[in-house]
Amino acid sequence: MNKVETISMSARAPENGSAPLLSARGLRLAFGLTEALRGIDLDCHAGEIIAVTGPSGSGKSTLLHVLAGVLVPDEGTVDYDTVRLTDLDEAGRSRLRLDKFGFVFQYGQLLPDLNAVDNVTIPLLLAGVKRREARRRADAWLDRLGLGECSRKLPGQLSGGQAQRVAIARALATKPTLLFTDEPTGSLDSLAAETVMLALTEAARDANTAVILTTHDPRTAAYADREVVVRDGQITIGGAYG
Amino acid sequence: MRLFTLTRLVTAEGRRASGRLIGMAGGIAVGVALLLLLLGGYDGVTSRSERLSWPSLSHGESTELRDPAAAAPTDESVLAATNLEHFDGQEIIRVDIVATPDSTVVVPGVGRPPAAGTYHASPALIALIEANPTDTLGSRYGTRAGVIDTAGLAGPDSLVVVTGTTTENLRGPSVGMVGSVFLSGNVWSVTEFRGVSYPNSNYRALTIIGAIAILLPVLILVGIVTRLGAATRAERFAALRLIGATPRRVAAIAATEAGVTSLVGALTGVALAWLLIPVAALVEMEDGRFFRADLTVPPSTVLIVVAGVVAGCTAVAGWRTSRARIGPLGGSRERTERRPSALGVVPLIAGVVVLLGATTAALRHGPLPRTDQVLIAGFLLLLVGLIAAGPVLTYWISRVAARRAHRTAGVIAMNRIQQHPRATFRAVSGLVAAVFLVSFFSAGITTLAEEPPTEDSEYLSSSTLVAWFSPPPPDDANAVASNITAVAAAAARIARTDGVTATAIGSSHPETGAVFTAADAARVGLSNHDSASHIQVTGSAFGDGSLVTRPATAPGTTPRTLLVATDGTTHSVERARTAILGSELRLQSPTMTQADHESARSRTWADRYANLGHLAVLVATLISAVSLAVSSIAAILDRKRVLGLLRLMGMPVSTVRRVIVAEAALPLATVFALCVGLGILTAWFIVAGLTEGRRTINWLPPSYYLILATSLVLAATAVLATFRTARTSTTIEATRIG
Repeated sequence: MNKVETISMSARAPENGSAPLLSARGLRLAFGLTEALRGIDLDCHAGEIIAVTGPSGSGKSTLLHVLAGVLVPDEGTVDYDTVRLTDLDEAGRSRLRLDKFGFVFQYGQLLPDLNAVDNVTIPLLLAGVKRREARRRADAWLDRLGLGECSRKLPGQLSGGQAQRVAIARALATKPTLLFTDEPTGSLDSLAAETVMLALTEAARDANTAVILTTHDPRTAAYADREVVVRDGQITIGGAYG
Repeated sequence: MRLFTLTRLVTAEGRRASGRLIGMAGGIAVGVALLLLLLGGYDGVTSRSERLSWPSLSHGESTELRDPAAAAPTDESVLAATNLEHFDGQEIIRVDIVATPDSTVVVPGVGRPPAAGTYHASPALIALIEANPTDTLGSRYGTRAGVIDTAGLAGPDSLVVVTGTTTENLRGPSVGMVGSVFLSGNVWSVTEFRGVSYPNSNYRALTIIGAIAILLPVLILVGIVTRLGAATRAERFAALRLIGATPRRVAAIAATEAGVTSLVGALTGVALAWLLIPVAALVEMEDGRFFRADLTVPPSTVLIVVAGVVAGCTAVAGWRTSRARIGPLGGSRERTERRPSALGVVPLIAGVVVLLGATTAALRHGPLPRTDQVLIAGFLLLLVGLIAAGPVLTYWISRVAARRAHRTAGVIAMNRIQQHPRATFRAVSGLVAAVFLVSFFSAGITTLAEEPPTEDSEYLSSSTLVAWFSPPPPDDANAVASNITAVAAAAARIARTDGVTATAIGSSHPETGAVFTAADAARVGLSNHDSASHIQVTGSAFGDGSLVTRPATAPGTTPRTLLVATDGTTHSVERARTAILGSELRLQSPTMTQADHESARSRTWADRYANLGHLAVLVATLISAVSLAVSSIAAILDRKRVLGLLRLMGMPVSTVRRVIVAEAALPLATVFALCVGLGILTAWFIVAGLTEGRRTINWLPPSYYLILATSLVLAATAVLATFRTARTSTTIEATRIG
């Protein structure tokens, strides 16, 4: 077996020296005999955009799920702000995801029976916002992402890029501090992918929302402040952009 | 062969796929089993009607005799009369036959006619005779010569006796109904005994309605299970398209999968039906339990059902897949349903109009030809109309509800319903049909609920026997005189029977009707009006009307009625009845008590209606609950990826559960009140229409509300049963592997 150079990455310390928003240490997770994560350390600061890249099966998505508290690591810790995510039970992690995190995925994100604006209202309703107010905010987000005219359309009537931007609006509607996106442009052509990434990064920066995205497309990764390469369950290369 | 291999690889690999196919096959098996039992039941009712109706004599090769005393049997013909007897509230069909020793006439279930003084009885009657003292029942018939076999009996509970007698002792005929058989009340010369299918078209109408009531939920169930896992299957087919399979090949694979699965299901259904026959035979329908053989469907019918189900499922699956136009890039976008047209409510309105028209015509103009068929058509139209109108009403309500929803579950569920009103309503359509049927049958059954007369002085005691007998020719003075003596002698003998407390002879009077002596009237519990020597009695001895007594101006002239009061015990009543039946009185109609009358009345067609109704409701509700569970699971499985993602975002699983509940509750609530109202109204239409208004419906009994509540509990249970699937199918794996 080739020995792989392992580099533990730490995010750039921000100029004001504040603590990372999310901090993972020594993450290990195995599915049966397959070790998906083999000792990962990662920090993410507020407003930072990190691209996690790597080949298929390298553990990118698994890392994303562990950082988001969807999966629990066999070893290691994940701290969000002052909360140790890995010590919370399922209900606590769900609450945290609902209150603080947003998600954008590659496929099947939108409820097919709800029009665009209703899809965006769902997380707001879950957060206890009244429906009228939720619709107002959802409309505002759709306008902001250039989807004002599509707000009453069903997902089946939207293009792939439009649907993905609705998903971004939905993810950002609750003003999360951290957005997790798994292959957000994976199902899009290059033009749509560019539109989506521009919308995503601009909206995130405006809201000072940190983003951790997985991708194997270098053009998508180029929108990030920093790229982290995962290979065989370990971070092998890291760097900062911009 | 390659197609089968490909189909197996594409559709049957993996635990989840196997579960889907097993679910489909299971649903089809249940459907086929019930269908076969229904067909068996329908055939069984027809064939046993033939066996039940032969004693009515008029259906065979027979001639009604004007002067029985002058007639004599030949080797090719017998003299026969059918009587109705009672024992402890049960009805016994008694066929008295006078035959020559070399008679060639074959009596159904007996063979050669019994010799005079001997009898053949059904097994149930033999058991009854053996369980009771001889002087209460057995001595009515003479010496037992054999047992009537199944060819002469409606079912294992039939109480039938065929007695051999002489022309002199050929019993006076009686008029009446036993189940669906009308006893014509005369002596016949018979060369061949023969029964008929459905002597009463009302029975056929009700049987068909009951069968439809059960069949509809079965068809809905089969329709639902064949859609199981449609989304998953669409993804697999899309993958096939991506690697080069033509749309035709994909449709062929879908058809093959459905064909093989439905074949397995149908064959399992045949086995299930065979196993269920003994259980189904226990169900009392029409005239009691069935013989098992009655419910056995001929192999040709089984073959047709299996072939039909397999061909239907195969064709529909292939057609659906072709129509879905699955492309190489996935199971296509979500297909929203066409908005339901308001025309969907037309069949419902048409059904109400047909029923209203037929019933009104029957009420105004009396019996009309084909009323039963028109009412069946109206019932069918209404039932189909409810199912057709359901999506329209559901769509209208969901539009309003979607606008007003404030919670996550409400927004998701109402919008889902708005986009898929047909699919959503289909999930509860079986239950909707069941609620309609519960209301329909329960309201119909209330025709039984008429209050029995209370016991007071102007009613006969429920244990007093009433015997009516024929008068002698009025112009034969000698006969009239000897008849008076003979009746008095018979009454005196009967009065000495153990348990008889009093007897009273009623004589007819040309001007006043039945007249009793005041002393006799008092002894049997009627008012004696103090100073009067004779009491005139009018009114009905049985039924709702009370007897009216008043002093008579003159005694009666011809004895016509004998009242026999007893101490009320069953043995005393039956001993007295046996004494009356064995006397020389020429009885004109069945000797009955008020209790016998009530018992017989409660076993009229409404009783059979009730049994049929309970069976239909039970089966329809159970199947519908299964359909609802299957549908709810399918609806979650089809959205598991997106619901999984929402759960990943932090949506609690309780919200998914609320979505399931809302999606089941809205369509059910939409038509619930409508089903209840229309069910009751339809019952009235049919009851009043079939009886030209002689019967009506009454307030619904508490059992109705219990059944309704049970249906709702079953629906809730069906929804609860899907909660586990809701939790396990929307985990993180669903968002990735889906």
